Formats: sequence, C-alpha cells, structure tokens
Amino acid sequence: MLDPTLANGVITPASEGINWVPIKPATNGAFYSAIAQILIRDNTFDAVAMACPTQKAAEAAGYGGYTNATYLVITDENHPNYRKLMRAADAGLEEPPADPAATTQPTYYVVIDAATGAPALHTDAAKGDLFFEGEVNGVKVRTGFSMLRDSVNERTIDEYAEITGIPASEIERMGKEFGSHGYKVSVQAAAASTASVVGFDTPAGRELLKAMMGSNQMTGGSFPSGQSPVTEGKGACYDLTTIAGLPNVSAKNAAMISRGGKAWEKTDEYKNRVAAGEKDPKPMLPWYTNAPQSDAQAIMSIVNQYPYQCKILMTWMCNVIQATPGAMRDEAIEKLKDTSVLPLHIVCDIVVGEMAQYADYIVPDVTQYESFGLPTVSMIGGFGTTIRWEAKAPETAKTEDGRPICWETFLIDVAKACELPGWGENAIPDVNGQMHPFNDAYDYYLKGVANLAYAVEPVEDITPEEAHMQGLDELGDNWKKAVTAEEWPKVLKVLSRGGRYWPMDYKRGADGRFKGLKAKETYVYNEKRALMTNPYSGKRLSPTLNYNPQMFADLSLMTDHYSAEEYPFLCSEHKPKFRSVTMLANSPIMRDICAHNYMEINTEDAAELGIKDGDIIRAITPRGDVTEGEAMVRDGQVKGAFSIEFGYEHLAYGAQDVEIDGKLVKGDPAIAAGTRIHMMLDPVVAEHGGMGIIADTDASSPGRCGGMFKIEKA
Amino acid sequence: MSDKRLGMLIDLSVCIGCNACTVACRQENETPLTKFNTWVESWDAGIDGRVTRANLPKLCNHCANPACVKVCPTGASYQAEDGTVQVDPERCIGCKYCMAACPYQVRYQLESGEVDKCTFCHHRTTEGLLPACVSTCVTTSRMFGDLNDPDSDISKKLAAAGDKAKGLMEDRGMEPRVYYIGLDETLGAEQLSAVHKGGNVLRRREEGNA
Ligand code: SF4
Ligand code: SF4
Repeated sequence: MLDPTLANGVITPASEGINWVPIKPATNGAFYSAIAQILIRDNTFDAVAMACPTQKAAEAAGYGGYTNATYLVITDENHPNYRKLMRAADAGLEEPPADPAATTQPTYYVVIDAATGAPALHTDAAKGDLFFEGEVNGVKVRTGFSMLRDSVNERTIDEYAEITGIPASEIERMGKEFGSHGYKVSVQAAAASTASVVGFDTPAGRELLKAMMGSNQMTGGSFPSGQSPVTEGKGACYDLTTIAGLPNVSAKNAAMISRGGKAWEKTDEYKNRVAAGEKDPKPMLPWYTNAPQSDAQAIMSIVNQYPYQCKILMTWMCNVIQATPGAMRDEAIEKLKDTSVLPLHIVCDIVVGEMAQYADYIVPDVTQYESFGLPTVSMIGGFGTTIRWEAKAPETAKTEDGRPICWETFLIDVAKACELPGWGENAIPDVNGQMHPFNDAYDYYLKGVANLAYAVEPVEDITPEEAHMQGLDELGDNWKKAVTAEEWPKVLKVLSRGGRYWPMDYKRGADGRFKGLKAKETYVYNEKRALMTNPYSGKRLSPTLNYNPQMFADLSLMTDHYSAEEYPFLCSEHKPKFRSVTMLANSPIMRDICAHNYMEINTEDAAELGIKDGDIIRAITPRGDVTEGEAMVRDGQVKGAFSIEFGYEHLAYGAQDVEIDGKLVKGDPAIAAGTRIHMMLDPVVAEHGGMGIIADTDASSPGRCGGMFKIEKA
Repeated sequence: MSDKRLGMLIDLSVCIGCNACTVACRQENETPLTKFNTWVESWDAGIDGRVTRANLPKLCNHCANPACVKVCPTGASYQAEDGTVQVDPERCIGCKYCMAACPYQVRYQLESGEVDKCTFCHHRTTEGLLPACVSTCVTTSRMFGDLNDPDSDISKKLAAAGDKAKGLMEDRGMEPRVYYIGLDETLGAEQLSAVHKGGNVLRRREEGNA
C-alpha cells in the first residue's frame, strides 16, 4: 500500500502480507514509470497482451482487453498529422467499405503486422510489432510502445527513488513482484492522495500497468467491479433516461462553466479576440481541452465571472467552497456573497454549511433515512444495486398537497413552473411506450426499483407475511401509484432486501474472464493528450507515461517560480475517521471522539525542525497562505510532506455567531476546531487577472496534494 | 450459575481502528460525553523494520476473577448468571473502590454518583442480539458468544488460535474474558507516535505505551 500517510486500513502489527510503503505526494507518475521501466527492462511484461491491436485479437489470444501500443504514431514534425496516430490514408492503405447501416464509422489505424512485417490496418492484424521505428508510405513513424519505452526511461530507478522517497531496492522488489504473477495482478489507485496538479499521471500509470500484464477483465486480475442491471436508464420496465423534447445542449454548442471539454483556441472568446486584432490572446482562467465537468473549477469561474457570469447557482448537498483546496478564502467568499457577481444562489441541504451560509435561499432536504437512492457501489465486486428508501417519514415541512419538502420536490415544482420537458404528466415512458407522470420522488425511484426487480429474471412477489413483518403493507397509495399492481409486490421484495445482488459467479465467464466482456482499450499512446496545447504557453505534455514535476497553469515548473530550498515540503490530505469532507463537525459524539485533526509530520523531519509531538506548527506557502495546527509527530508519515485529515476548520456550519432577525445566536467554536490545508493560488493565473486554484492541467481537478511549503513552529 | 460464559474475541490483525464500535456503543448505551464503555487506542507501531498502525479496542473484560466485584462493599458489582460482570445502580453508593481495583480503567462515575461500564450489552444479549459493537464491526474483528459452548463461533476461533489468543494483563490474575488475537505483536512493537483514544491524544509519544 503506497500512501504518503499510514492512514486507515489493515496494516497492523498483527496482519501479514501487507506493507505500507511511504510515497511522496504528487510523485505517482515517477513510481508508475519506474515499475514500467523494470517490466520492460526485465522483459517481464506480457508482450502478447500488449501487442493485440483489437478486442477481437485480444479475446482470441485469451485476454480481456487490448492496447494501442503497436499503433504507429507520425513523428515527422513537418507532416500535417504530426503527433497523431497514423490513419489508413496516411499509410496509403485501403479502408474496408463503410457500413451504410452504422451511425459512426470506425477509425482505421496502422500497425506493422507481426506476422508479415508489413503495414496493415489495425483491424487486420492479430498482433502488431511493438518496437517498430521507421518509415511507412514515406512518413516517419514509430510505435507508441517505443515512445513509452523512452519516456519511462527518462530517469533512472535511483532518480525515481529520489523523487518518490521510496528506496530503489523497494522499487526493484515491487517491480519484480508485479511482473511475476502473470495476469493475476492489479493496481488500485484513487482518492485524495492521488489528486495533485499532476494527478492525471495516476490513472494513466494505473491503467498502463494493468494492461502491461494483460490483466484487464481477467478473473484474478483487474476484474471489473460495480456493474448492475439498468435501473435509472432504459430498464426492464421503464425508461428513466429518455426525455422527449430535451434541449440540445452539449460541449459542441455551449461551454461548460468549468472550462472543460474545450480547447482555448476553439472558444468563442479566442476567436472574437483574434478577430478584433489581438495576437495570441490568453484566457483569464485556463481552459482544459480534455477535462470533464468540475465543481471546483465551476466555483472559481463563478467568483471570477469568467468565462461568463453565473446568474443562478443551485447546489445540492455539497459544500464546494470548503471542498476545493485554496478556494475558501475571504476574496472568494466576498464574491459569492455579492449579488452583482452571483445574482441568485439556492442551496438544498440538510445542514447550513459554508456553501449554504452564503446562499440566498436554503431549501431543506431530507436525510438518508428519509430519501431514495439506487447507488451501484464500484468497490463492491458483485453485480447489482443497493436501494436506499424512505424508511421513515421525512420530518421536513410539507407542500400543500402533502409532499415533503426536499430536493426532488423542489426540482419537480420548479421544473413544472418553468414548463421543462420530462416532468409532470406524461413524463416517463414504460417499455411499451406508454407515458407515466413524474410528480413526486416515488414516481421516479420506485420505477427504478421496478427495473431492478424485473432485471435478468424477475424476483418473486413478496409474501404478505413478510411484507407485514417489515411494515411494508403500511405503505400508502402515493407509493403504490408509481408502479403497476403487478410490479408492486416485486418492488416490495427488492425494498425488503435493501437492493438486489447476484452472486459473484454471475460475472465470471467459464473461460476465466469477465462474462460481460466489453471492448477495453488501454492507451499506451494518448492521442488526445498529444494534441492538447497549453492555453498560456502552447507547451504539450507527454502522450506516453512519464514523470511530471509539479507545474502551474502554463506548465512552468513550480520550482522555477519559488525556491525548493526555502519551501521543501509537500502536503497531502486523507480521509478523516470522525468527519466527512464537509459534515459531522456538528455531531457532539464525533467531536467527543475526536476534537480536532493534526498536522501529521514525519519523525525525522520534526527532529530537524525542532518540533515535538503536540507543538503548534505552521506550514506556509510561497504566497503566504498559512496552515496552522497541532503537530502529530509520527513514523507513519512520509518524509518531506505533512498530511492532514480533511473536514476540519470550519468557518461557518454553526461555528460562527450569527444574527437572526436582530437576535445574536452564539456559535460553537468547537465546530471550527482543527485545521485544513490553505493551498496557494496559481501565480500564473494571477498574472492573467484571475483568481485560480492550482489544478491538474489535464483533468482540471484541484491540486489537493503537493504544493510547496515551509514548516515552522508557531 | 448457568453453564453459559459470555466472552469476546477481537482479531487485531483486521481491526482497522475505524471506531464504528465506539460510536455504536455510544448510541446504544447513551453513555455521557467524555465517558466510553468501549474505545479504540491507535498508534504507529514498528515491527521488523516495518511501520504499521496498531489498533487496540478496549472495554470491560468481564473477568472471571474480577477485583471490582471483590472490593465492592454493597454487592452492587456482581457476576451475572452468564458470567458477565454487572453493576446494580440501585445498590451502588459511588465509593469508587471498584474503579481503583480494576487494573483496566474501564469504569467511570456518572454525574449522578453511580459507577458504570460496559455491560456486554446485557439488554441485547438476553434478547438474542449481539452487543452493539460486535454487530456493527465492519471487518468482523469483534466476535462474541458462549465460551463454554465448543460449537460457538468464538470457541472455534479461539481453539484455532491456540495460545495466539490472549487477554490484556493476564498476569494481574483477573482472568479476563475479552481475548485478542495478535496482542503480543501489537504490544511488543516499537511505539512510533502518540497513542490516540479515538482521535484524541491519550498519551504523548514520549510518555510511552501502557
Ligand atoms: S475489566 Fe475491570 S471492571 Fe471489568 S470485570 Fe475486570 S476488573 Fe471488573
Ligand atoms: S468496529 Fe471493528 S474494525 Fe472498527 S475499530 Fe471497532 S473493532 Fe476495530
């Protein structure tokens, strides 16, 4: 288990076969590169799995997934398709005739067929040549794999050891072990300690290592988790996803406020500014060509009123301002409060946290025991879905027609008032095309439960005895009307079990693979990244895995801006046991068990700084942000970085005094106890007039871990 | 006495120190703030050059030879039919002799004067339920049952563990009936951080581990 902090888990003195290996935050790319280097050096990776150019070829060879490792990349700088994967036309190869029935036509890439040594369409080869470098049709090309070999060899194992803080001998040991179990290996990586400005290297490296051992979709390898029959989509009984008359809004005709999914040069702003005569204009906040939606970037866009003003902000059960490192600061909060910046802000929540504190309206929501949900938990291996259902009547106020006030009721009524499609009468189609109303939460969720009840093989009806035992025979007509009389006893059966799961074997094919085998491609060469240019510097990142030191928004190294000698420390956050990301500080029980968090610091680092366990210490960024808290001096923390549990140091949420109708209500300072990381803002964005968090330049997610700090006694 | 002898077995190799048991107990037994019938102590523990995190859940051991019962002048502290050690609040005069006599420091005084502690969820076990901490334990580290019944899960696991299962401070002669798997490794490891009770500091690093 590699982690900057020995946090929560089964690495105890009494457990066997599991070790904690401390790793410095924001260096996962170095670690993965080191392991890939060892696998290539020792030739212990699965060269057959890596060379299968299609799913069909992979399956024929006994695998569950394929890679683009053998696809040729155009490396001729003067070629119009430089950095792109070579297409059939570039190679002068003929494509098969287009299928007139298909809505999209496949793209034909080019490989050197391992059997013939000649260029071929990737779809025509059973195996490609992994190492080819040369010319095809007069164009200079090489395989993605050969580029990977170079990029993971940019540094030596000793250098990777220095960067990650993991001894070279330990890296060697892990590399050997990873390459010695065939496809029966996997890599799991997620959560806070992987989130940094170079966070993209984590999923990139994880997926590469899985593919290098041919472990995808293999029993005992990287077996897929988190599958379920369709519940909230086109299910066995109802279609909960198709909305007639849905407005056509997508990244093609609109811009996400979080600036993702669009290259800067493709924005209207860029085009307008160029048309107005500006040369090489730069955005106020970065655009992220390949990023998905991001709440953290959205909130920064809102406070900057860029790329456009957010006129109405509606959030549900989240506290984006607290959950975004570096965002919860006076300058940002002032903007959120300013109605000329954000005219209308509606929050729906069960508590008044920092986000709700600055809202114009708060719609009360209901708790997990009073509401519905059909979560498919990806960490659970089985096939199925858990049902959360209204186990007790909600305690919020009721509408005139008797519905509890909550998020769903609010959405339904506002949507109906705005005459949006998909709500009210004739909103939800069943499999026979008949339409059903959507007027309350039951109308939606119980149809999802019906989809689950009828999936694969319909469940049996609940017996009257069992329904009675669980009090399910007391449920009213407002529940029953959501499904048919025939579906109702099956819906109850699923509710009575809290969901529906199939045995693990349901997912295992007889051939040792995932039964639901789907095409699973791993990018060895990431063409999307290859073509992405940075909006500020025009620089590009490596299309194959490598180590990237921490960078600011223009891809300049952080250490080019600030002194690594003066600010030698990194930081990381980890999951708290006694708080959530933003909640639970209001619980007297939780506060009793844990009054506050700590600044966790390595024993040797502490000794060098003259810090003792229990001292109050400060971590200061080059831009003057101060994180202050009680030191926990421990060996369970990597050297060179401090760590904290998130969810502490509230500003609001009952911690503060408030005046309500002229009456002062005292806050409870215990709610504010502890510390949170006060991350610096991005100085490059500041140069362009924006207030921007440091962020992953691929995914746009916040730089939660890493940064630059000096630590001193307070 | 019936031939029942209730006890608990805690497998320290899989206790993740999540404290779900602490919270479940607080909610079940409504213990006052700052008082705990069960809690978990956690610290960094060095073993064979590895750094690990030790988690050690604690509670009344429902000893077979309990000092607390012996010193109680009123009989308020007593051993019940099922072998558990209970306190009758009606008879407790709040002299705190038991608190002084118990080497495990699992008893506390309520504001109303009586002494209280873990009951092994007597009100639940007599109804055929498990103690709240056991039924909530996310890794089934905690196991509970009749030590006198060789077919109970706990007896079987204890038998399989052999002398790997031990009670705390067995040398004190209380004959504790809370057993731990992995106690020697846990207590024998080098202490490499402060000891936390839940998330609060119980003992600073330099104070060592008790
Ligand atoms: S642990 Fe203490 S209170 Fe509990 S039975 Fe033993 S001596 Fe008595
Ligand atoms: S609930 Fe179980 S795993 Fe969690 S701390 Fe308690 S005993 Fe350990």
